[in-house]
Amino acid sequence: MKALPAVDAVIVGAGWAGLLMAKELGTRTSLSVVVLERGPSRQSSDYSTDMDELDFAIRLRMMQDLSQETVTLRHDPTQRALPLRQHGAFLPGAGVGGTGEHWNAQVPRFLPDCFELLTKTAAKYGANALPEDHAVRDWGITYDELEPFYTRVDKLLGSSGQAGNIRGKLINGGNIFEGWRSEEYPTPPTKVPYFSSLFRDAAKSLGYHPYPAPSANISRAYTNPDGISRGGCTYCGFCGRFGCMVGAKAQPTNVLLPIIQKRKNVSLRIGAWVRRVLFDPTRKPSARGVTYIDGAGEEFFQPASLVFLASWTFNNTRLLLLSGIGEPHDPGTGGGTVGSNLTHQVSVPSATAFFDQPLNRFMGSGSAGFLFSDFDRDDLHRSSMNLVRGGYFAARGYGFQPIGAFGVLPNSVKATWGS
Amino acid sequence: MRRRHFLTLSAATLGGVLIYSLDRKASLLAAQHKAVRIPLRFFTETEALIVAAAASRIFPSDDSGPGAREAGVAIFIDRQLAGAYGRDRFRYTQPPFEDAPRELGYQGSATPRQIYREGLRGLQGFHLRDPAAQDEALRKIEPTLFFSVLRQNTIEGMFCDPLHGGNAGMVGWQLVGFPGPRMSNFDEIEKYYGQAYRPKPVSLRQATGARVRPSEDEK
Repeated sequence: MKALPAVDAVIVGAGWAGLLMAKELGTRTSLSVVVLERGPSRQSSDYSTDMDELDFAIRLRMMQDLSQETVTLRHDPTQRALPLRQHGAFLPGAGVGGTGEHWNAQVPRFLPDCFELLTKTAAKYGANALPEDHAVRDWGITYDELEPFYTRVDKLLGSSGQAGNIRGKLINGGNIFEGWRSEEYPTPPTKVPYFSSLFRDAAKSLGYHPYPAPSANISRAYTNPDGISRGGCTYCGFCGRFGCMVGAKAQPTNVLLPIIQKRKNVSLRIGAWVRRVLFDPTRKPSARGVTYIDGAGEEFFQPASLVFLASWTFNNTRLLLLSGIGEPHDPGTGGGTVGSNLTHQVSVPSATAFFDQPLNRFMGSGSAGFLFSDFDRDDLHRSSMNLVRGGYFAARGYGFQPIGAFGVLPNSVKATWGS
Repeated sequence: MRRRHFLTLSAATLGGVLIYSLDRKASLLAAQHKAVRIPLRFFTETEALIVAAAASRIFPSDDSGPGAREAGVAIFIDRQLAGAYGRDRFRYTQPPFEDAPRELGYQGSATPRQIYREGLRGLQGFHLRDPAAQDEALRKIEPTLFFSVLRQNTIEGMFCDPLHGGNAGMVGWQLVGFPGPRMSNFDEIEKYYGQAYRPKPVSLRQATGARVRPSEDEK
């Protein structure tokens, strides 16, 4: 194993978290920073010709190459864990920008009481309202503490939307159930796909409070505080699983990378698969750096005084476990913190509806649409329902493409092939 | 090197005039061309004929419009199998291979190429039978992995960008009203509420003017 010259900070992963940290350290300190990314190099201009459903949305060209390394999967502790052989429910990206390149750019905020879920639920319904084996925890930080950072991120991305609560003043047309915002969104709401407009009108007619979906796929040209300019969305419909053809969608390669590339104290190494964090528990700080393997299979030791894990919560946890750092969570006893409460996106029930009129669903974006949050609150409890919280309802106008959208049929149709 | 195989298709079944890419070379086929011999990359000629026949029962041409035969689905599948997808370039293919609950996904070791070769052995003479007998044969293999892969690949070949060899003449897109990768729907998205907006389809190469290379042509 070859030891490299020591740096002040090493960052594992060049996605949103890693490149954001690299930008902050690179522009606000003189620390030497190395970012290690397992995937290939990417830049915004790569996406000018990527609107190919087969290669990108079906064959998933931007995702982690599972032939090189994968995770194992089981759905309960009694099953034998088996390799994830092909991508399914979750789509970890690989390459500079990570999953932030092929996301749908939906940028909702958590509600204030979500940060103190255990305390608030117990205060409202009593300490015994939750089952004994519940996993609900407070975050340890509050919305009020986080709000300035949410606002900074919205300005970085140029988020489009309409505020429903500016410093306590409720505004019709926005989400009146949201936490307070210090400012209006940097850009106005996106255009509204027809399908989402039907949902908006129906929700309104039922007395709910629909609002435009917060979107980092921006509605019009915008220059952020770092001087990065992007144009507005053209509603081409190729959003999630694709990089944005016109750069309207905020991606690490268009809002962070150009700043980082100008900094001499930050370097980015691609094709670097980090294997372990080396640490010495008797020292302070205890991290000594990381080991990684490059594309040729050679192993390196990158010494660093600061180690940032920014390779997605799932992989960060895996690296901690492999490195022997912390106490692994045991789902049987509930003990240990590493891997505890680890959650990916929770998929929610969805409904399929058929309309008589054409919806033109090929037009759209991954985050244009309407939502309502009248049920996203903690006062839904009824004695007849074992329910303490609800969620939001959404009708997003994702662009539909013909392979992925093919075959949606009413339940009465059983045949899957033939005339 | 294996003997070269060709699939002979009538230009008439391929829908008259269309631009077709043969081994990365664009060809213009007009109705006066009686037939075109397309070089195969993976299938033997007989295999290609069986796949073409099976795909056109899965996605037939009928009163609602053209199907797998007109779209050139067999050519699409041939190219996919010859490329990275066919050899499982991106799938995790190390042991253990175990029976697993369905929700853990396909856990087998066979690549798409092997699944087709094995599956096609069970369909010998398929292309020579009448449509009713073909449907009966497909119903028998409906629960198999081969059939589900063939069905999925047929849909892909109907609706993929023509640069992959399927969706010839964009007949699949015209069938479902998909206009292809348009650079902008900015002026149309709020204009066509409740009305069909059906611009003439464009392919990725037409929309971008770039010689986009499909993944199956990469090493």
